[in-house]
Parts: sequence; structure tokens; C-alpha cells
Amino acid sequence: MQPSDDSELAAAFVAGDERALEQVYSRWSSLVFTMARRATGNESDASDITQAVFISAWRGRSGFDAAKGSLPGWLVTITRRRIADHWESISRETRKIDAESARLDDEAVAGHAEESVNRVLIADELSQLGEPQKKIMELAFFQDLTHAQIARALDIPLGTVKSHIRRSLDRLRTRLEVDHVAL
Amino acid sequence: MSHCDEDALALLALGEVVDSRDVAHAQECAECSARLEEYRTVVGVGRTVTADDYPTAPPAEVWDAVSAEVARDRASGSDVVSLDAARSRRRRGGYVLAAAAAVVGLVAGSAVTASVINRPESAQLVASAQLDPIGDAGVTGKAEVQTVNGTSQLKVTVPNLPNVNGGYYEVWMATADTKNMVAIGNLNPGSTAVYTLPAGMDLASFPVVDVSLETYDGNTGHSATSVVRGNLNA
Repeated sequence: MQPSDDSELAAAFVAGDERALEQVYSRWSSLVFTMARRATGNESDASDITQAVFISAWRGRSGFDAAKGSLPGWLVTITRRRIADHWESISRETRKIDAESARLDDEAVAGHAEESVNRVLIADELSQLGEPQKKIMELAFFQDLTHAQIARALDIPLGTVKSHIRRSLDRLRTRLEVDHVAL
Repeated sequence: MSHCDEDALALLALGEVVDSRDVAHAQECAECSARLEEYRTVVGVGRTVTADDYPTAPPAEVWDAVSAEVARDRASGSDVVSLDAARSRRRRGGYVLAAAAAVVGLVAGSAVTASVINRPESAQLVASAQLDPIGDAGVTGKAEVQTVNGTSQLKVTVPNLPNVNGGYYEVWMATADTKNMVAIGNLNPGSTAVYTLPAGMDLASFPVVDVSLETYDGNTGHSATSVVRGNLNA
């Protein structure tokens, strides 16, 4: 089996083809692992979470519904849950006497983990942009250059830079949305 | 004017100066201001991305662990598993427990006659076995098969079964060589468990009653750590 696209791969995965699992892992384990690494702050917990995500995805593969979202979106959802479980188990262990401050801490941790996951999603999508889009977005995000400065720096027409910026933002926005709602 | 120029919304989200008419429209138009908010969220996240946020591969051991787990799932797809296979699977997976060694070759169990526990009037004792300790468990027990209104039941009691943290006990019936095992059910310390056996369960083929210590690892196979065992036909 050589799935030509994600939907064929997803179908083979759901059907229980272990070679599909291997491909799914090779395509998306970096994303899962990095989200967990950034959200937990250490590689060991991230490895455990990554293992748990792929095992539970495999065992729960019949619960994946292609009509509701993409396979990577589903994996991201499972990863978010596993990260939340991770923090919950830590918070249970260190449960404070002051329930209110514990609750606020939990929310802060959950928010932090959520932001970490979103950053990794955006980084992943940025890395998949072609050129010159990737370079343009890096200059806009990280160097704070205006589109006019970018156009000069890369010697690209102003209008082209503007539309690249808008399309790239659309793509990043869609990625955040899709991976949020995909269940 | 109609909706904002979308390119202008994108630039606005990035904090650039755009045509004042676009700015004014974005403030009034629900659709454009919603889109602007979404762009701003993306820009907000995007600007905090660091080199550490770009996906990097997990250590190779993670895949090894996933594929080993999947292999265990495949092998124990049915509840009927070979204890040898369970044992070697655990070993490969690095889960060998010290007591597993004690299991080898120990089809213990000694003959037992009737004598028992709260049997209903209609129940007829079919077979029974003393359950002898395996490994260093140091506890003994008793198993009985009885028929009640035509249904076979297995009754298992292991007094003094210690409570375990993070684990549980499971009752199995096995062939005499323990190569094939059927999971019967879990057994809580301090209680006598009664299980209804499958109608086709052949005691001559599955004479061994075994109680194992299991962990909550999602693996449906035998852990290879038995605490007591006996043979109904001995």
C-alpha cells in the first residue's frame, strides 16, 4: 500500500493497516512530540505523551470520522487532551489547600499549554510555506518589517508581497481553526 | 464603501498603517472586524514563535515503544493467548517481572475433593482444585466448578490475597501446558468470585485455574505473573 494522499492514508489507518500507522507516525509524530515538548517543557514527558497519543489513536481508530476533520487535526485534538491530562495529574498530586488559587493556577497552566500548542501549529504551517512566502512571513513576524520594506529587501513587487501576506495569514488562520474544531 | 480590501486587513493586523477608509470600515463592519480579529490572533501567535517551536522528531525509542505495544495488541487480539507468548512479549517490551521466571514449568495444583463454600441446593460440584502458590506470592486458594440449573460456574477464593497498588488480579483457565489461556474475570482481594463459564467451555481441555497479577497497561494478555494455580483434573 502506498497511499497517495492523506485521505487514503487515513482510510488505511482506520482499517487497521499497521503500515499506515507507521506512515501516520512518520508524518505527524514530530508535530505531536513538539507540541508536547513545548507544553510540558521536557522531552521525557513529551515522549510519554507522544507514545500515548499514537497508541490511543491506533486503539481508537474506529472513532476517527473523516467527515469531521483531517487525521492530523484529530491527532492534534488527542494531543491537546493528553497534555491536559498530564497537567491535571500533576495538579492533583500537588493540590493546594486553597482551592481557588489552585483553580486559577490550573487555568493559567491550561492557557499556557494551549498557547504552546498553537505556536507549534503555526511554526509547522510556516515551515510548510513555499518561497518566497516563508521568507516574507518571517520578515513580517520576526523582523517587524513593513510590506514595503519586505518588497525592497526581496525585490518583489509591493502588490505581490501584500497578497502573499494575506494568503499566508489565511492559511495560518485556517490551520488554527481546523485543528481546534476537528474532533 | 464595500468591504475592506483583504490585503489591507492583513496589513492592519500586522500593525501597518493602511488607508484610513479601510480602518474606518473595519471598525464598523462586523464581518471585517471579525476577520481582523482572526488575523490579529494569528499574528499574535506567529510573533511569539521561536526556533524551539518548529517540529522536531521524537527520540527513536518512542516509535519502538508504539510498535511494541501495537504488536502486543495484535498478539492478544483474542483473549485466548499462549502464556509463553505473553511471557516473551513482556520480555521484549521490557516488562519482565521478577516473578515471571517462577512460572516456568510450574503446572502445580493438587488433587482436591469436595468440600466447599455456600453451595445452593441445586448446585452440583463438578470439579475442584487447590490453588497452590506460584513464585513468592505465598498465598493459597481454592477453585470449584459447579453446575447450577445447567450452567457451569467457576468459584474462586484466595483468602489473604494482598491488596495491590496500581494493579489487579485476574482469573484464567488454561490448557494443562498453559499454552492457551482464557480470561475469566477479575478477582478482588477478600472476596469469593463466581463466574459463569462459557457454555462450550471444556474442562478437560482447560483444566488449569490460574490467578495472575495484572497492571493497568491496557494489555489484555496474561502478565506472566501468576500468584496461584491449580489443576481441576489432578
